[in-house]
Amino acid sequence: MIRFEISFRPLVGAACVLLLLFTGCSKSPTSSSTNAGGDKSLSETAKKPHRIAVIVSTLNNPWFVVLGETARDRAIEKGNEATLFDSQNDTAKEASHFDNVIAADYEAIIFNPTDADGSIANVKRAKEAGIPVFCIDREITSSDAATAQLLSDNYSGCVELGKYFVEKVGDQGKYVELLGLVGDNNTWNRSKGFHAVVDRYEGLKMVAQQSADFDRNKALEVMESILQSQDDINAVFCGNDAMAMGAYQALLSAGKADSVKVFGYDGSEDVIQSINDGKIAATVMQYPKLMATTAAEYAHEYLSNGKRDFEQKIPVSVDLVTQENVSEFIGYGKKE
Amino acid sequence: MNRRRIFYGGLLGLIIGSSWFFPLFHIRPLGGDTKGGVGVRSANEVNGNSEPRKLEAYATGATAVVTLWQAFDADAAKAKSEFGKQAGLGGAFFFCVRGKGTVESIEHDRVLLKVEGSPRRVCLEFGVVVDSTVREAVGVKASEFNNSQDFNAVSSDLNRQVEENVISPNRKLLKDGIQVDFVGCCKIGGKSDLDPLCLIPIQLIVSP
Repeated sequence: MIRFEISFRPLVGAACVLLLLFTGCSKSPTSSSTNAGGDKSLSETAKKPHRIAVIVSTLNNPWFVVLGETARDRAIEKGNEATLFDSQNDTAKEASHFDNVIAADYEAIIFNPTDADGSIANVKRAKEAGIPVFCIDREITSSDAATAQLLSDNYSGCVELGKYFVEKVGDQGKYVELLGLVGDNNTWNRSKGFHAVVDRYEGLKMVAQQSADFDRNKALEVMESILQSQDDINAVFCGNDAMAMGAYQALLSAGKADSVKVFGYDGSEDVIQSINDGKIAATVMQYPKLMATTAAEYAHEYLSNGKRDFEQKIPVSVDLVTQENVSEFIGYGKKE
Repeated sequence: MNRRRIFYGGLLGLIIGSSWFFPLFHIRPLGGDTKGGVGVRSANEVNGNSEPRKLEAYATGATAVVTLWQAFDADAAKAKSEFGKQAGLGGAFFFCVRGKGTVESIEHDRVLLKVEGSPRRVCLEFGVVVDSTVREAVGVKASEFNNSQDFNAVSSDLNRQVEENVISPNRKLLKDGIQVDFVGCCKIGGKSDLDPLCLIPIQLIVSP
């Protein structure tokens, strides 16, 4: 008789490998808890207040504070729980917030990205976890990651600003452009909208174009440095209001605030006041409260009422604010 | 020994088979996610292929200008929703209209037309074209693009076509009393924008 001997050790090992194989594959975007779009089933989440995370690129700029707090407050008003996270303009911090939000079982994210390309992976991870993401103000360069993106029509806003710039500065002169974050599409949409007009006038010469990262203090430093080599400029176009205030401060220190016209973008409270005071020439009013409120309502509709048919990219209208019509506006919006 | 070999061979086969049907990871080429979403286009594509967006393609869907005026006289809000395209949240309404008129006067940057079948007039903008009126009026959508810079590049390209293919060749042909078939794009905020209705021309046919 042949004696049959077998060692169970390799068998147990193989079983473990197989177990790992199958358990590793158990959570896929098309598993039973998610639909084809990667979202959680309604029955799972219908009975308790929904948890919504608001992740904002920075809270070091009052404009983004308004954006984030408005989204959070509107989400709460609609009966949800909501928490605000600050990415501090740091993609690593942003990724970490997404990890935490996904692990903590938040059900929707209202998201103001730090980087048009770099933030896509975060949104895709959330989508794979079944969490819808609603981008506000800043774009991610993807049409199939976020549930919807609400974005100011920056290009059109800066075309209007460019027309007003030519009207006020004239068709001859020298100007400086301060750019925002170079990885952000808003920076380039604003710059290209402005140049679509101003570049038509050969007499208008751009003598310097530098990034100040949408930051007031950096704008102050950059402008001080530019003024050392360019002391006969007529105007400064800034990609946001924080930089406009920094540039104005530098011009004030150099004794040029009265002779150089400063143009901003955002519609922040201090710039609206400065237009009233004749210090800043113009800005473009974005409507952060409108964007944030709408995004919070979309998230609520998604979670509570099963709405899914969102337009992927939704431009939000903007308005030129000048010394002629500033009385119609307050910081971050129109007077009621 | 043979049985042991058969056993391990079978186990190996099972693992390979399982891995084939339930792979632990997928390998994709870097930047290979070119689908980008349904119907996503690059800046100069139309209808999903790489043909440049041509102005003429948009002219066929234009509303008769007299119909639009009558609709505004009856109910402005309904006229906007029926014939206009709204540019995003809270945005203005844009229209693409067609008609026939006679040149009444010519200024440096605009041509005034008396419109056939209406006491109202149309003005054709003949200056530089810089804003997004044409893009919005013909109904190009931001959602069609991964990157809004491409969406905005469409605006620049359409404006360039207007200047090069419509305004420039017709500037010298238009004279007082000449008849013109026109298709043009406009933004209408209120009733004050209706007479004259100022259009960026996207197609002009001048009768000899």
